[in-house]
Amino acid sequence: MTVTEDAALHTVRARIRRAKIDRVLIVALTLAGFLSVWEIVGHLTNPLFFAPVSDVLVVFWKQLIDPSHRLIDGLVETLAILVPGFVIASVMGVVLGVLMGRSNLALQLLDPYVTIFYNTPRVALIPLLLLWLGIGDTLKIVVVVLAAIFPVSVNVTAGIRDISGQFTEPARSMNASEGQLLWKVILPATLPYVMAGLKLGLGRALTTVIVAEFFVSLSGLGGLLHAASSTYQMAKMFAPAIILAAMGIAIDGLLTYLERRVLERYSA
Amino acid sequence: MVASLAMSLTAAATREAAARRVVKRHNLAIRAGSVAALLLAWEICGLLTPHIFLSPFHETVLAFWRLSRDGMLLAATWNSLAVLLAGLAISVLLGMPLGLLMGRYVRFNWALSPYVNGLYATPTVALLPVLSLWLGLYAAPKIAIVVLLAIFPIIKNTYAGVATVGPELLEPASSMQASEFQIARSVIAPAIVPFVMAGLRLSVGRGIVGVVVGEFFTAQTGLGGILIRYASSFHTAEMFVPIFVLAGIGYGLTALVIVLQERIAPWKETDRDVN
Repeated sequence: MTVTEDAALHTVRARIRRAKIDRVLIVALTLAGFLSVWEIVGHLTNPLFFAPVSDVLVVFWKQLIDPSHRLIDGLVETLAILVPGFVIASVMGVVLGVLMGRSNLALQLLDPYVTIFYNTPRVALIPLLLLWLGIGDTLKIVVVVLAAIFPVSVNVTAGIRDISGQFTEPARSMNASEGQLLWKVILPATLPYVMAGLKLGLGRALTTVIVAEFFVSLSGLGGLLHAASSTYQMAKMFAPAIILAAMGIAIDGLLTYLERRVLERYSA
Repeated sequence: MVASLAMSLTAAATREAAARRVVKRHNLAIRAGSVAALLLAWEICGLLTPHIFLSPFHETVLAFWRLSRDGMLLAATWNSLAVLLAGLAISVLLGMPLGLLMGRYVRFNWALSPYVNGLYATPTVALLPVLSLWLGLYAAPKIAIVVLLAIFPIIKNTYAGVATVGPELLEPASSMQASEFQIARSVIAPAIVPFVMAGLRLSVGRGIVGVVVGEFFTAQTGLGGILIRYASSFHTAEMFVPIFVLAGIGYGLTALVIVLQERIAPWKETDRDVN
């Protein structure tokens, strides 16, 4: 009995191990294939249009250890826009969402605008804001806030609608005050919706900040990228692109981790 | 007795319906008041500030009329819409099979998911300068950037949809000797339609961003093109026209996807976007 069970367990473990090895092999093989095609195509084409991956990596490394720190400065500049903008957007988004979820008057007053802004491509507002705010950091932060606030607020409003009766009625019957209701019941219960909104907002914020930097073309990773591409320095252009990709993946990973923690804690 | 009870019930129901109608009318009035207040504020601010910053609202209305009459707005809208629809069509036609393959064959998923997840989190507008170098200035780079923005929600949602099809559906089908194609068509496809539609809803918004960015930074055509031309020549009244048309396209296409979702796949609703 136990002997056969042990044997079965053994075969299952062996199969899992084999699957893991398979997975590593497949990921490594596709990566190798992808990079070698890039390398070969890079050597065959005009260097004005494309660069082999080896050149890209060499230039990337050189820029990274370059004493003038252009690349690192670009990353810092972009983050200095993205982080405050994102924080403001999430706080304001939650406030707006709670307001619209709790008060019918606020909902009716604000819903037309939220609908319009949610559906307007954020980047279309950049030329207008450029006119009003100039080319400084204010423009970029406002643009990021506009990009990220509405996914958060729309999700929070929807979340409050979803939970309303089920959570607020019992709390009310136990004589919870409006403040207690908000801090102890509504906000924790809508946290999963906030996280989902933030993840949507992140993609929008990143895209918009890059486009704003393309416009102004002086600072940040978007500025570096635009400058390199307009002077046909292909290998140099990929360095900010690599950092951008890494930054997007890292922030997305962080939000996914936080989302999982929140879901573990607050969802039934 | 029973009759009178039924009558009082119907009376209660009509009363309730009437009350609901009153609330609805009340809400509509608040909305209209809110919009009217903003337009009034816009008009007053526009009259008080210099024209290069803001024009009063009525001038935007006049500009809308002027631009639609000389056909420019229609041409620009058609131009942008064609790029958007081409990009979305390519995204669906490429994204659905990719998501299906990734959901059906785990090796395929292992090979591709690092790239799909990585590119989904990357702001792919950063690739626009390269796309423009490779593909020129006209429709091709714009369609390419739309696809790069719009395809990933479709791949990921299709994949998530395939994952919901468990062995309780697949095993009966294969025990009845269904071929792989029959399984895909009759078992998996109905299950993934709601997911694909939810993905498409996200893709519409991302695709419009792609169109506008493409029109800003390659040849300035379409709505993005006229927007940037008016903005850089300080025509603030005309500038709002393409912005409103873009918002309308976004709203209209999203509503269309929702209607389609209800028509094609009324058997299942996915409230949450799978991401």
